[in-house]
Amino acid sequence: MVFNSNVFLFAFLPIVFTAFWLARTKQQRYVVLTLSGYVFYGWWDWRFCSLLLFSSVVSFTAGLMIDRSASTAGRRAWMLSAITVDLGLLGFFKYYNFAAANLARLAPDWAPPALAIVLPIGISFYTFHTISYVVDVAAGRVRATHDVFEYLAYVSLFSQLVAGPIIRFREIEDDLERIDGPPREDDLARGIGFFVVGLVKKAIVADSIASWIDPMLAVHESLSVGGAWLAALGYSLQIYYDFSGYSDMAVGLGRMFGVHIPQNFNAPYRAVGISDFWRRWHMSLSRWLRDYVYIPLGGSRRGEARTCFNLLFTMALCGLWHGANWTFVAFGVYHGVLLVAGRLVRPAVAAVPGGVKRAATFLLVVVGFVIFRSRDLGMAGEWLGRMFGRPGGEGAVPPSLVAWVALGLTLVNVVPETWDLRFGTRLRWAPLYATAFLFAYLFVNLQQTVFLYYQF
Amino acid sequence: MAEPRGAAEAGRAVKFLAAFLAAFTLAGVAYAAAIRIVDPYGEFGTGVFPPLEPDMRSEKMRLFRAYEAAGPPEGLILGSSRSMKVSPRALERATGRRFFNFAVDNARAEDDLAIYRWVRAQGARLAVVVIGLDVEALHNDDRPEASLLASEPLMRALGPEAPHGRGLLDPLREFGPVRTFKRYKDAFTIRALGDAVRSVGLSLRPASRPLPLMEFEPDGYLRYRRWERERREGTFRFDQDIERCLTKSQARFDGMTGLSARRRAYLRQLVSEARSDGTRVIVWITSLHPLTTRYLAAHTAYPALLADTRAYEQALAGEEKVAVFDFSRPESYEGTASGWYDCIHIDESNAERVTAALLGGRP
Repeated sequence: MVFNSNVFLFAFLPIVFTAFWLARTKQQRYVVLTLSGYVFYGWWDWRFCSLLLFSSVVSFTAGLMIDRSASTAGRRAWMLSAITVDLGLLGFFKYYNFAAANLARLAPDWAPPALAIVLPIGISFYTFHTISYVVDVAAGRVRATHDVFEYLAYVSLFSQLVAGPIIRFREIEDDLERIDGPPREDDLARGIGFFVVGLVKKAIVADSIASWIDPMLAVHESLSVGGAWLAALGYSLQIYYDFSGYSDMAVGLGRMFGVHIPQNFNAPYRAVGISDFWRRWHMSLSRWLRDYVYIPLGGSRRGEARTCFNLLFTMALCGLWHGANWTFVAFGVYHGVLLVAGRLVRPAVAAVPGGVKRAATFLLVVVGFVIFRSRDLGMAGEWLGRMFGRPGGEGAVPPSLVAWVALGLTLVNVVPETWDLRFGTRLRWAPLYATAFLFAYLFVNLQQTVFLYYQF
Repeated sequence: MAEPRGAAEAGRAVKFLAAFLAAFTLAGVAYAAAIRIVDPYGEFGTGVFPPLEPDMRSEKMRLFRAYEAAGPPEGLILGSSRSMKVSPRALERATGRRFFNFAVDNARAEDDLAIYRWVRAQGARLAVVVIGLDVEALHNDDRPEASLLASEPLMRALGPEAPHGRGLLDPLREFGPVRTFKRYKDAFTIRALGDAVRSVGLSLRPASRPLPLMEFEPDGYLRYRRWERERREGTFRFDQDIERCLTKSQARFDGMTGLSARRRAYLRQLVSEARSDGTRVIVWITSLHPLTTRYLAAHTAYPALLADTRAYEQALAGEEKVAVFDFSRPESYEGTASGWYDCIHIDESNAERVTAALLGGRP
């Protein structure tokens, strides 16, 4: 099920909302959230609900066992066991065929056979949820919950189940503990506001841009130089409006149910460096990688060379997390190299004006998204080649796309990020939200598309 | 103190939600009323403003009734937009029989059967039926065309064999209120809003009406008015929207892994009914531009699906004594690379070649 579908907007959400607020006790509300999460997930393919349940039960049990373990070794063993199971599932479903195909190229005699594996939607996200929980329990950063439905509700919370933001248990633990409280006007109003803004971003801006660039990229061989740049800029805007729109909707939905989901985007295209970009783009993933990969590797505490390696390794992993394709690995490595380079040249560029840094950062990010969007490295090379002057293509440059890109670039540079908007919570704001929602729905009802991050 | 404050807070939250829902409902009702009054597609029969794009199935039914009033048609051309350029006049010149082109957009096998039955129910005695068969007309994983589902006469013509969508609530679609609700729901799109605004604008300034892209002659034959003018003026570019055309063609094959048993049954039923009516049936696999064929071969299972369609067509020829032609490749009817309006639609020159090739098989 997707947020921008009729069944979600006019059946699932009203039913779950009503059931949730009619329920009085914590347990009842946990159960409502858990069941709704499984219905939401199972709408895509009910068979994979068992995988979600299995992964949740493993990490919940590991949390309890870690809590009970008297020795550090015992805690560590339970933590590693749970992580192994989680990563094993993720590895099998997401990377098995990728590994098998690459091995078949390198050593055909040793390669395992390719399997007909369906990638469970959202597995990358809920695996990171469960891993962060057991690691935090083992590190003593969070108390293991003894309430199985509280934990199941955390993992299966439909607002963030399939495409994030990646929330840690400790970030919403207090909200879950106070879940039996009455509804709050400011939460509800801001929740609706966030949701509507997210829907506008996705349905109006992202999908409109996509309708122009998808056909161009389907025949990328015919891209002209101008077309290649336009497609690259267009995709950079599309992915921002799509994913930040999704994140806003998730935050809004969370607030409607009294759960405060943390910020996931902070005007990333205004970043003045690549490290700044990653502090603003998919912030929940950046924080997760920093806390559970980069810092455990030693972070920046073990000298310059090791820091550079840690950055490269973390970003390569970040790329691979997005999908089993060399383009994602290349995207991660590219950003790792940029982070390392940025670290090395930082003193030299300190005096460069902020506007120049901002423009340069944006261009580097756009190049990265060309790699990210490409079907394979060949397409990435061809597309980048066209952008940097390799002749060949004579494909048209649609004027409508030029207009959308100009509008998108203006908006990302002028309009405040959703988190900086001051949503009115008074009654008089309700008609404005309702009208904006209806207007966005006119786009949704024309063409219902899936969010880009659903594939990860 | 905490509890009364919580209760007051909850009360304000409920009020806010009620205000939001009331405003949404009001805005929705106002929008629906405006669409009904303007009626940009002529669906509600309001008739205050000029409709922009009448539904093609309804339009062809209207044309057929008028055509039939002038003299009984003896030949029927069925199929999708790829068959719309097959000229009834050319067939009449060669056979001496009056033909009507009843090809409709995105026709699937169920459309062909429904139209055939509807035409028969109008009292027509047909001697020949020419069916242009797209490979996707036998798609095994897509919904019936929305305008077929919305057409009461055609759905009635299909009777108990009428297809439905794939949702749990689909059986409810037969009920009048549900159909009405769906008609209004489908009007909640930005395209409908834009068209409603255009419709109002046209009624205020009729001279500003642009030349339509497609227009039907009284015998159902399609004229691409805008493209014809561009050709005359030398501004026509075959590749002006080629990327969109290719990706749209690809999208038509989304999820198609084979030929639908249900749709094969529809086509067989049509053939069987036509034969028992004493009607000769000709089936031809429609043509694609070579660029499209290559593109589809690279991105879809088109080659295998085409092979399945050919095999099915041959089976029809063997079992039902149907005359069959495979015009999937332009060379098969001596078509030219320049005889196209876009990546899937032939122009008059290639249509003439198709007709000649069909007539070579002596209908």
